[in-house]
Amino acid sequence: MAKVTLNDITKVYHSNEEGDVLAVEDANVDIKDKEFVVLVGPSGCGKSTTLRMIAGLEEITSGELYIGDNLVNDVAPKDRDIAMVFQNYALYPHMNVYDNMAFGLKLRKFDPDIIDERVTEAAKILDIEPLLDRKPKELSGGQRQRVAMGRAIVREPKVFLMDEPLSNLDAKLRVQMRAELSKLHERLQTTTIYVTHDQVEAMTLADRIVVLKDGIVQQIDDPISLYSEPNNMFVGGFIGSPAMNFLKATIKEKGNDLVLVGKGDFEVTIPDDMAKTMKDLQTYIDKEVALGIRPENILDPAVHDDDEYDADNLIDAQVEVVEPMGSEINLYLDVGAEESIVAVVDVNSGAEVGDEMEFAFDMNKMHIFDAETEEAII
Amino acid sequence: MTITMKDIAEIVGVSESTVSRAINNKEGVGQETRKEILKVAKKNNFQPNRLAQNLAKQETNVIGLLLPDIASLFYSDVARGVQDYATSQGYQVIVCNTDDDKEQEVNYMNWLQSNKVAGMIFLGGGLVNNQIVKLGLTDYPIVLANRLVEEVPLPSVIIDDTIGALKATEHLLDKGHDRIALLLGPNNSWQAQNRLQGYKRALKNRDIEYDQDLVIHKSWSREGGYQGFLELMELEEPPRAIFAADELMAAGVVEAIKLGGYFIPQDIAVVGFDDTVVTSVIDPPLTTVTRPMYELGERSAKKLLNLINEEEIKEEIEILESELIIREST
Ligand SMILES: Nc1ncnc2c1ncn2[C@@H]1O[C@H](COP(=O)(O)OP(=O)(O)OP(=O)(O)O)[C@@H](O)[C@H]1O
Ligand SMILES: [Mg+2]
Repeated sequence: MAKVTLNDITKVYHSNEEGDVLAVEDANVDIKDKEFVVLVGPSGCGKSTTLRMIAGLEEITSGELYIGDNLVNDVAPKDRDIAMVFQNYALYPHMNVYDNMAFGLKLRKFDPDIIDERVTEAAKILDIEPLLDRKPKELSGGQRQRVAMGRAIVREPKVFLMDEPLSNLDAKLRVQMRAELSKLHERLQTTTIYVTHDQVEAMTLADRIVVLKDGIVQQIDDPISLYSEPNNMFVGGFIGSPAMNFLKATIKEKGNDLVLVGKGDFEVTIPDDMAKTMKDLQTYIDKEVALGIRPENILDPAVHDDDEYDADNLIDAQVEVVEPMGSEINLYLDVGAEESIVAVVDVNSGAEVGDEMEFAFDMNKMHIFDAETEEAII
Repeated sequence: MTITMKDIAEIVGVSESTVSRAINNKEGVGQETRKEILKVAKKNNFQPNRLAQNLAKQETNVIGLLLPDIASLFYSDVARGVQDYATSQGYQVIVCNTDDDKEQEVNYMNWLQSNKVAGMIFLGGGLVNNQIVKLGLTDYPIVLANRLVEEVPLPSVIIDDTIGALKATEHLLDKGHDRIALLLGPNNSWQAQNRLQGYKRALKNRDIEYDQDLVIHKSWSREGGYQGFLELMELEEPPRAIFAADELMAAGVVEAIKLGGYFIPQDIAVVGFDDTVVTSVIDPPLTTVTRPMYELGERSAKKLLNLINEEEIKEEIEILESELIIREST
């Protein structure tokens, strides 16, 4: 097992037709020993490129990559002691599960007793012992994925690298395998770097998440901090579903308070303690900012006790769309801003399309971003 | 109205260059994204300019065949199969001997690619190196012939060795033998383990107990076969049937049996492995397992040309079975 360190890692692809593509720029990531780190971001942001540089499948244009304490920029992939798991995996149809897990070790001429020990142990961990004699075609999708994991496990690598390993599975199985991956990591404690574009997968699996956009690291944090303290509007909007709402607003002084005033007759008060601790906020007075509020922090007073919301911070809205989601409802609201905003409320909220209603913003959970740089104002 | 790459880029929400990479089957697009792009392209009847594309690719009608050593009888038969099929389809084959040396292999790969070779077949030689994995992650056409990969599925044609060993063992069982010796190369060799597996499976199918004393690991050589036989003769009850799972070992066993004054098959029955010039000179004519080497070459070439021409391939991994030829040694 080992830590993995990326120091100013940059990747430029040289391509004849498209010129140079800067796929990853100055990435600095310190992955601790035993940590489960997820790289997440939209398509083309450089996740796979980063992973493949760590694997040694892609040359590093500049910067240093350490596995453990060793600089590995020029170390051959096979000597990096890593195992990769991709979304597609080669299970050989003529080999049973045992051999599909063992063949790599056999070809590397490991002692048969050691192979047996490792395969048996991996099968136990993955709960596929009864399947060892079966051929791949006699397995379900999830079982096959486990065999592929088993093949990586028997190699006893220092680091697992996984590039969207679950994206071929159907939604239900994906959720189940996600839970199993977590358990597996708890048990093996092998440092894992996992790539996905699915933020839910990232949030549920990761010790820490690296959010990438356009080849640049936006934020590295544990899931909860990432959710509650996004560095910028991109991270705020990317993490969480439905996504965070952004409203343009201007900060104004009103008596002793600071308020956010937006289009329509939209006005909310910034909580006192927030206004005080964010002393930078003073410099934004009379300037435009972006107010970020998550759908679950927009409350329908009808389904909350009086002390659960702030009656001074009500806003008027018209319900445009009602989207039942099971135990909750997504409401699309027109608050007079350019775009409608989304609120997630309890099913018991009687909201119907066309209703004129009041909603409360849970102001302690609100975010304020610089309208130009899109950075969080703290 | 025809849709442009730019339109597709907008619909999917990616850059135009990503759309271009996806449509031109190039690396650097995640599978999900690629699928999405191709879906939109297909739905909107996107017509890429084929002519421009082919000109840009400037590929030649040449494929590369990388193998450890053409001098090996096994590989030369496969190469023949590759060449015959490729030629029949208007392609030329460049054969590169890698001597199982990774660096040499990578050098050849780079050289072949820079010469715009349309695709490559990697024949034999154990696990693929990461350079091949990397190439496999792009959409450059490659086929693995009897070569295995751990990380990603690559189009492959593979001979299942275990089946040949199973058939050989079953044949001796059918002849009434229930104590069958197995001569193999070193215990940690891939081939040895496969053949042992086929042997064990045949015994298990007939509920015959596996007896470790009957399985002898020596070197893959005539000497190995010879010595193996001598060892078997020292058993309390020497076996009267031997499966020598290698051509050279089979030659050595037969030689040792005859020198000992025994008759084949009356005293001792022998099955060999592979049917080459070596086994063809053995007297009496040897019952032996034959691997479909020529077919391996042919199928691999066919798969590669399908990939080059972007035709759908039926199975990504194709398995060929080895057969038993029954002659006079059993
Ligand atoms: N071999 C290559 N040559 C040129 N450009 C490339 C190559 N590989 C990737 N790119 C470009 O580098 C950028 C990052 O690609 P990468 O595959 O790392 O993205 P990703 O985050 O994994 O995306 P996805 O979610 O679609 O898998 C993209 O703009 C892509 O087009
Ligand atoms: Mg990717």
